[in-house]
Amino acid sequence: MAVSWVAGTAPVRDTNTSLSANAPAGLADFDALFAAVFAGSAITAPSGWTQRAATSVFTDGYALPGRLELWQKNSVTTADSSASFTWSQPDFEMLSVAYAAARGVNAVDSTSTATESSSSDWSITIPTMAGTDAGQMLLAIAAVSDLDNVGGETRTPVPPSGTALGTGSTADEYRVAIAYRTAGASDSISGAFALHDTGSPPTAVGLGAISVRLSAVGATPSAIIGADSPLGAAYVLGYQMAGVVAVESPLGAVTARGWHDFSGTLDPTAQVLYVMDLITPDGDVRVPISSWQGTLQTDAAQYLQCVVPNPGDLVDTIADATEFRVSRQLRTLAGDQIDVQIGQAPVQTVQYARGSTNYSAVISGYVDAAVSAEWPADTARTLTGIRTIFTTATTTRVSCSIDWLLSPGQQAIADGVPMTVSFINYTVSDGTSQMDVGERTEAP
Amino acid sequence: MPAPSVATYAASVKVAAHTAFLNLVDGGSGAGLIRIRDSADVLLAECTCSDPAGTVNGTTGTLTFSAVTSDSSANNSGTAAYGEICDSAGTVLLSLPAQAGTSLVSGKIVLNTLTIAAGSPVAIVSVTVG
Repeated sequence: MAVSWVAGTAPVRDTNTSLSANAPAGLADFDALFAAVFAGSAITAPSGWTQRAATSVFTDGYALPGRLELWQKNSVTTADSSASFTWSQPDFEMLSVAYAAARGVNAVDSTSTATESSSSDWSITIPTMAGTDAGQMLLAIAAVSDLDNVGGETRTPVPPSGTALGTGSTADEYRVAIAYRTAGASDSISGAFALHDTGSPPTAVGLGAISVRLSAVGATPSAIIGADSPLGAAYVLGYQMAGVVAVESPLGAVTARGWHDFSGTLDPTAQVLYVMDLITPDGDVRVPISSWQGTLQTDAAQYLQCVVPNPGDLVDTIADATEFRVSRQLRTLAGDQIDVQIGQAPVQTVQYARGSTNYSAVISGYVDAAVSAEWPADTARTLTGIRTIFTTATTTRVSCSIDWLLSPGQQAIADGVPMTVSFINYTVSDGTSQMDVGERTEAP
Repeated sequence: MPAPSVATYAASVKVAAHTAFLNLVDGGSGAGLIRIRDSADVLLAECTCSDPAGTVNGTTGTLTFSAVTSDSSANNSGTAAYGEICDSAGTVLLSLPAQAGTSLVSGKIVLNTLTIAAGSPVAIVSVTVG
């Protein structure tokens, strides 16, 4: 696999102690991303970048030299596309950054630097860099200390012969430029890299250059990077090769459950609505329901059922649905709408019933029993609107108003007597709603 | 031993790995923390783990968190986007995307609602690893 050019960015510059610049768009996993950075003082790179080469760029009239540095991001993913990275330095001086991205890169195989401390023209002779194998890429990077004297002109860099300018054709004030060429064993880059194509600077300028050879994936790798299995991540053997071998971390899957009592924020005068979403491959489809019922429980399969009135236009959607979800729609005192899921189940049974005046679809399904957990004591719910309490040796069942914050496994208190909820049977239709809450000491 | 169909770690390895994670949760001067944040990283709620935070089953390697002290008054209102398991110094050890629902989902923290109201209680019902 040969190294290929992905994209470069026009240089970004500022006189400041920090500068943020965006990487090129269109990056893919395992691409190589480079930053050519010119600065008047010591460069601090963003986290996750490694310096590959550096050279001085003497600034006219300053006691300390500026510098041109080549940095490479340690690992690249698609998320780095157009991502902003911040480069900084301790002194309030010029900063300029240009990015270059290449694909199929195995490693920075070789670098070489050059500097001219006092030049009477805009160009520097880059170090010769030759290819050593098929499919490589050679980069030429140049920087100049000062382009301020080129007033009113468009500054156009001229890269070394045989290379292509990768970081934009013109810019307001070029400080850095990157050129590239693909190369085999008989190819090389050399010669002059000019940061401006016209005339000469009125005063002496400093210039710096870095030549780079990138080896290709598929060549004998220079290194294999193995990472110990971090918590929750895969162990990667091999990096920037044709493929990766991943072994699952020994850390098992994580599950966590939280609970929030938002009832204090609800508008008690707002109408309560029940909605049902059909979950289809093309997305969720909200449909009206006339009634629903469900059983949530810890020691047996859970059940959910709803009735869709006049389903004529929804037959295809119902057929496409893999699951359905019933939610309760609430409104807060602030006017915000909250959808609280009651249950979700696969579409296992669909029954259509058509009579002289009615047409409906009954959708139902079962899911696994709820996982028992030891709920914190402060989540106990006091049941309200109690109609009946039925007790046997193994079962307690309370018929009462629905408590929407109650789940199987939680503590419920009926007439001052606590119980651990084993099951909740919901019944909601045409303005009536109730639940039967129960504890059972034996599985059904 | 029959040929495995997937990479399979011995229980002893899981015990060691989950014990190491538990030790990191307990690694600070105090108890570990479980935080809920919105997509702008605003802290919505913070619950406090037991110290030690849980126990590792010596046979299966499963790490089960012990009772987590609820946040009696959520810090801010917002839409829960993710949860963090941290040590007492707030060093994030594990981040989990949040999801509304009633059933456990591997790799997620499931909440009965993602809409968190400031001043209202938030509880962590269960946390297991492995």
